[in-house]
Amino acid sequence: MSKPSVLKGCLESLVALEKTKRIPKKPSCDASPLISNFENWSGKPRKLYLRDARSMKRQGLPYELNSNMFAQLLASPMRLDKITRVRAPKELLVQIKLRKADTDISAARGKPFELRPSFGMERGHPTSYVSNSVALVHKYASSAMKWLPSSANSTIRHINQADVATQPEWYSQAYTEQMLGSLREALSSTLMHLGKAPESDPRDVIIVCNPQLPAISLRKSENPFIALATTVLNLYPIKDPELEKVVNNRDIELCSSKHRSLCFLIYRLLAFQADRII
Amino acid sequence: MASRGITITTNKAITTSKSTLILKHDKFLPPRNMINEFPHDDVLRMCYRRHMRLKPFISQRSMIQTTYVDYVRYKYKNEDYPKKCRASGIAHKTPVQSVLQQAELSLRFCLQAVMQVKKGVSDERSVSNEIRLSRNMLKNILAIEHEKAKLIAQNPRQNYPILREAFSYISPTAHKSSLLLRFNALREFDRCLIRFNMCMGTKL
Repeated sequence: MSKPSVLKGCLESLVALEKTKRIPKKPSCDASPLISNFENWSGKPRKLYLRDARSMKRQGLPYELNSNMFAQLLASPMRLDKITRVRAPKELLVQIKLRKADTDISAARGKPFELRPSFGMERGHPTSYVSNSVALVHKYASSAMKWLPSSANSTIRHINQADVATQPEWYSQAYTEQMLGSLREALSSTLMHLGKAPESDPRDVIIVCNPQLPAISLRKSENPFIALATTVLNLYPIKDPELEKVVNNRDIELCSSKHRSLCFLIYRLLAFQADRII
Repeated sequence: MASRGITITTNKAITTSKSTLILKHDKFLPPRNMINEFPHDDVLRMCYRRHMRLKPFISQRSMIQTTYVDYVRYKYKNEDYPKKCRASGIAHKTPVQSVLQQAELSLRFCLQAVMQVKKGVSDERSVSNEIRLSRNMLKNILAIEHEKAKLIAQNPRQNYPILREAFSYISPTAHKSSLLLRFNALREFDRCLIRFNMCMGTKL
């Protein structure tokens, strides 16, 4: 385009500026894709939404996780294992608590605190976790002071290592005996109330005392709607005559969701001793 | 940022202040009677694809998403699961599921872990409890996979055969070797997981 014609066009557009109006283009869609596809850039955690509870059974697993002992064990929160420096669910580890010592035993040695394993998975007190294996715990028990919970040495509460009493035998012999004592009590009290339990409860754990079976095994389930297999916990490897007398060569069928602490206690004791048994 | 209580509803999802609730599930669910209607390899591929589609549901962090993808890829392509079971020495007298059934049930487990049920419906409590359990389990499985990957990266020549090929860490006599004792936490976890798989028919 030549210069004079550009100038002419400019002048014409300036003169006609007041008369013309720019008409906006109409969008081709009804709603903006920013709104109609909002889920793509909302930046929120996504979930599959169910409007009724029955569709969960249709779309998810057909069996019940709540009544499965292993699902409960695997779903417990992860904690650091102080020996192997690997995180694992806390129900598969041994809990160690820092507490005030019993006055009559440790005070004589001038140590106001003690570091001891605790089997009940209680809350409160500074806590750390180590592997649930007698071989590992026995190997490293001489350096048990390394298992001191890190919260014991915070800026608020500084506890000197010299004030903490701990002994290697607390982690193997005494720990096993404590667990055994509590297991005897729990088992006999459970047996007393077992007859009153309603029949509708799923019986998915069987406690036996049989020298031919391994410590933990699986058996085909009688009720395949709940799970394909039933867990069999064998008390024989513990080699405790009192427990054998309580079980008395019969199969004790339990509902694991009702007697969770008992099942966990037996599992933990069997896993703890497994390295010694084989 | 949306304030608390505002929801935006579109055809495919409801977005609340906390999460995006997807309404259309067809893309994620396995088709009905899949195992009988499709050839063996196609079923596996369908399950694999659906597992991968769940990636954005598992977590928003890219590190966890990568762990999930690596985990599923390893499970489908490399792992010799029967060998792992044999190495663990866990005795069982249960019906053995076919590979396809195991794949479908594992997919259903992952689907269950990313679900959310409407508040106030009947059975809401028990259903959300099941969902919470499966989500925690999946989170723990991914955390353990991450630990394994870290250990393998530290010393691939030694740890890869132990953790991924021969599965010697899981054997019942592992406590006799001081090398394998280091993997005790992983051993306990995986032994529990194999037992869980036998109960539920999955292959996690």
